[in-house]
Amino acid sequence: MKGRVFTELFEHVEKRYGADMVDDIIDAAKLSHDGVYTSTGSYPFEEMVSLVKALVAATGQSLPAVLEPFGTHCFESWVSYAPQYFSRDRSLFDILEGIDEFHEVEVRKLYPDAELPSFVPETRSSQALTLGYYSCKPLVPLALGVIRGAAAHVEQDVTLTCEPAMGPRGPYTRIYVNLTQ
Amino acid sequence: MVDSHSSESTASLDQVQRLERRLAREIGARKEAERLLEQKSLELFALNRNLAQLNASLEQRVQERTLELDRERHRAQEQAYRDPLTGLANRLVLQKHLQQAACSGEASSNVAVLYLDLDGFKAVNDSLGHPIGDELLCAVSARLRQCVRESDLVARIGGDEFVVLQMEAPQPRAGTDLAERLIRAVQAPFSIQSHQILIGTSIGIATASTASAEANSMLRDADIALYVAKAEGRGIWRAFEPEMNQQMQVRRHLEIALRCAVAEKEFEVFYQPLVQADTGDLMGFEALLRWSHPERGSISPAEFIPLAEETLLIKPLGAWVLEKACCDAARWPAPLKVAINLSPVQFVKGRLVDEVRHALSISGLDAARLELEITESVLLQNSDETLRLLKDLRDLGVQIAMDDFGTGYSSLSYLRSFPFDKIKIDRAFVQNLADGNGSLEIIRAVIGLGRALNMKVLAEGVETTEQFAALQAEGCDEVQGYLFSKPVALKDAWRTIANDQDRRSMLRSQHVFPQNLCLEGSVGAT
Repeated sequence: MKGRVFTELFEHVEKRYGADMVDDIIDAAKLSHDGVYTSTGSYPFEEMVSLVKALVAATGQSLPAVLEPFGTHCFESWVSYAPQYFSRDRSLFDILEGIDEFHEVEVRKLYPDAELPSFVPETRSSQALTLGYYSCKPLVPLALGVIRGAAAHVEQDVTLTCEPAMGPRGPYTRIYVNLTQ
Repeated sequence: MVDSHSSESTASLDQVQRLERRLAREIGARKEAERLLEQKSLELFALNRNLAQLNASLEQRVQERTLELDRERHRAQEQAYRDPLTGLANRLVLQKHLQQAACSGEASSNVAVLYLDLDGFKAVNDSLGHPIGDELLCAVSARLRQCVRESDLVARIGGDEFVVLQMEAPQPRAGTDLAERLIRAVQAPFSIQSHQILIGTSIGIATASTASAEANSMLRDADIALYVAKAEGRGIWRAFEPEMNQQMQVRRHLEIALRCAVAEKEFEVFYQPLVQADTGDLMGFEALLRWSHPERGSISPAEFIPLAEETLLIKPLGAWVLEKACCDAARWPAPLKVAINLSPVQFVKGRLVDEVRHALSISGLDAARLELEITESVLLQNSDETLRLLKDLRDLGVQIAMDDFGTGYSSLSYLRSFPFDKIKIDRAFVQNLADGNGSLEIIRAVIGLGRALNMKVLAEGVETTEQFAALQAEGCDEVQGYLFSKPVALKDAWRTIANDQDRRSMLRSQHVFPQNLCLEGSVGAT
């Protein structure tokens, strides 16, 4: 996993829970390198698991409750990095459908070897969008947080549901995005 | 106080330690980032070097490909300018040289274009096969090259067509001298595999003095002269003359008119009576094709039949004559017969036997009443195949006559090769009967030959009663000529038939056996 995800997590934890919480989860995760991450380096995914577990333990919140806001944070950081992909003039569904392009064009430039998740639109109507979420990591709540971040960005209320699904590329998660306004 | 002070200092210590750890993390991250940066720099350097190497090798490949391409282009150009079979120049090169020669001003007057066409090549190709034909072309090419100088160009521009471009030689003498040499060179026997092959060549010559010295017109003029050379007997050369062009134009117009005439059916079949010599009875008619052009009027068969043969239009035309004449004859009282001329062209890869069978079948004419006339030129070409066709025709029950006997080669072996039913003595002998130059003796000999071989003998071109009397005296079986009737249209032929029948019934009633009697009425039927 790219170091950028770890530095983003620390930034998010510091903003949401304070700088001490960052120290605490690094201590609790018992990392071999004392939590030294650089954005372009690559680090074992297990370290992220340990850190998130430590955060769950430290906050007493559930895993989804911890991961979702982090997903929202990730979306906000993308907006500040490449605002042209996430203009508020575009509809929520257009923005969500454009995430893969943003990944492949902008993220790939900096991190050619990154393992990027993918949001593949399946069906779309004026009120509902079905997305296939493909990722080699079990981080569905993070994806839901990204979608909520996008909804908040365009001030759109949504309800999200998801279910496991199977496609030609193997198992994935189908996420239903319904507009509630 | 002490406790509160001590807990505050513990908290501060803890805070300091946290800050120290954070600082250590930041420093560690910075060092890690620097290490990664250096690593990336090294990678970038290696990539750069690889890129430079790749670029160099690409450059080298481009150079190699360019060279390869140049070589291919050169080879393609070579191929584009060479005749692949003989290695001679092709039409493209010839055109270039002709243009250069035409542009060279004074020098162009020393240029001759010799257009060659092999005589008898097609027969070699057909009978011995294409591989032998190809070898022969190569051998001819070699001989042509031996006849010319370095500065001349020899090109092959068609199947058996060659052009020699003679440069910088005093014309027209040099051109005709070269033509003589070329004709002799091609006439000498060729030995290809185990075959001894004899062919010849006809040549048309154009020089700047006769042509307009334009590249295309010189070639065209040489082609026209070649056409004349071939028409005049092959194995010879002819130099272009402006009149030839006019003749060609006339011929071209005639050909167009002929094609239209075939499509528009501007033809009519005329009939000339065939008369039993001793009784004067009408035996039948010879069918003769007439072309009535809407503007030019009647065009002579001597003018259009050779052209129809050359253009193969004789095939549909011949089939039409067969059908028409058989249908007309079927209505005549039996046993009146109809004689129809066949062209040698109808014997070549055609459906002659089927056409005859078809004509008999749709007309209902008894095959025994149909007589097909061939000239010996039919037998000159591929005689095995021709004899097979003649036998097939004979099997249909039709009669076969040898026409124009006495002209041409008149080889007696032709008479032996096929059991003709009739020999037709050419009109030239009849017309010269009175001259005492041997015509009578020849007619006598042919009549004797006919008796010996059990073939009837007919004399053509009988115009005077003296000629008729002489032929009767010699025992000629049948006669034909203006004395009895010129060729007439169908309705007049019917009148001739009616007159003949009247005459016969009158003779029967008088119990008189006629001698020396012409077809009364039929002479005036026209």
